[in-house]
Amino acid sequence: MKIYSDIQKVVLDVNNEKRELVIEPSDTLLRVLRDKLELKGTKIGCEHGDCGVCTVQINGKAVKSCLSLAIENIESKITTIEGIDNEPLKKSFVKHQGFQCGYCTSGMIVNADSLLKSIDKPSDAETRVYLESNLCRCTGYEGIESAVKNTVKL
Amino acid sequence: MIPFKFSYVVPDTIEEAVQAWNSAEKRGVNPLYYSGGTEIITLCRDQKIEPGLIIDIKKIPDCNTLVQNETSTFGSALTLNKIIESTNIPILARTLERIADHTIRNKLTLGGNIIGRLPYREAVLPFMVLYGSVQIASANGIRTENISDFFNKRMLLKKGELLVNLSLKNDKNDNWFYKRKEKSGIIDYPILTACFTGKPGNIKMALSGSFSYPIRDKEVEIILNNKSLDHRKRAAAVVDSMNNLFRSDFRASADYRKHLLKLTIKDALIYLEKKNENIQ
Repeated sequence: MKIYSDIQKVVLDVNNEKRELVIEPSDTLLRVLRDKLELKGTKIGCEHGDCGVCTVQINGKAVKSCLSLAIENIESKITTIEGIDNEPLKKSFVKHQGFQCGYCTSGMIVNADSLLKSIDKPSDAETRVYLESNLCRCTGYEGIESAVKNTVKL
Repeated sequence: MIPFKFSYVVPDTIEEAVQAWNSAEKRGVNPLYYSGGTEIITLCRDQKIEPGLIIDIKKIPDCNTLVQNETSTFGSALTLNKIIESTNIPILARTLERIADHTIRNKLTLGGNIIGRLPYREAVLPFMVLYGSVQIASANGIRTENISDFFNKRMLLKKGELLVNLSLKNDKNDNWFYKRKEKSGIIDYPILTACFTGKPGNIKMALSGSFSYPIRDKEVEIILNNKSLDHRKRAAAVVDSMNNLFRSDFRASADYRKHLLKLTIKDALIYLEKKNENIQ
């Protein structure tokens, strides 16, 4: 049984890099990524799992980092927006105006990338099921959906 | 950010988990079993709970069981999406895929949803209507209980007991009906979730969203299966028999929830009767 009490030196696999850092067991993954690893692309939003701006991938699956402890991801592969190398998806967001203020964009792209990794040619319904996890307060949903769908077609 | 500190352990076996709980309890540390953590982290952030020790059960093989036969068993630490992607029980998949959103379902676990503090806990509904049972671990070993006895407003777990897995019996005839209604948009808590299974005359019904807890009531099912009443009268009689249980909140009034349930029961009775005629 592994026991972690008090401050711990741990290694996290973030964006294919082994990052050594010191954390408390109660640190959320979101705060560790932003405050200790300076990966500011993962945004802070509601911190209640509602908005999706803090979405990262854990072993390829989209997860809200505000609802994850950093310590429970020691043996996982963590991918943040900085580690997403899906250029067609990013270009499609630009081409189809998949953002307005841009605050939700990193979460949207991380989530959409997990969709495209999980399902070869997602249907419109499957795309919607994934994208419903993220809020865009500018309500630019059509552009976002169109960006993801047109990446699928590439 | 969680504004207090706790320790965190990752047991490899049920025995280690239960031992960690008992030892923490003896030391006066407030222990808590943890798996997906979506609700626990939220409650910790708001300081509604302050555990001193988090016991993460997701590495325990028994809590990740996934067996699908005539009786299917699902570990309490399985995420909802893992079950949705694997199960061949349509009413289970249908119920789970409407809980929270896709990203949350990558983390939210079966046990976590059912044991949680929210009134909805919809994942328990298919187990209520398909002869569900649960395995529970404690310092005295592992025991099995029927959901019908062990879920009364909540899982009747005693201090330190660990929910290991849940089982249900698949309905070979595929007699099921599911309905979920929200106030606005499908990513919202339900104002009514209803699961029905079985043949006419022996229909089982489990409900959530309209009450302070998920419910299946065998007395109510006697009315539901009373063929001397037509569908509309039966639906009205069922709702009348549960009259005091309906909640009013900002999502919907008790009267609206009653109205929805009447319509849903009528639809379910018609659908299941028609389906049974086609099978025969």
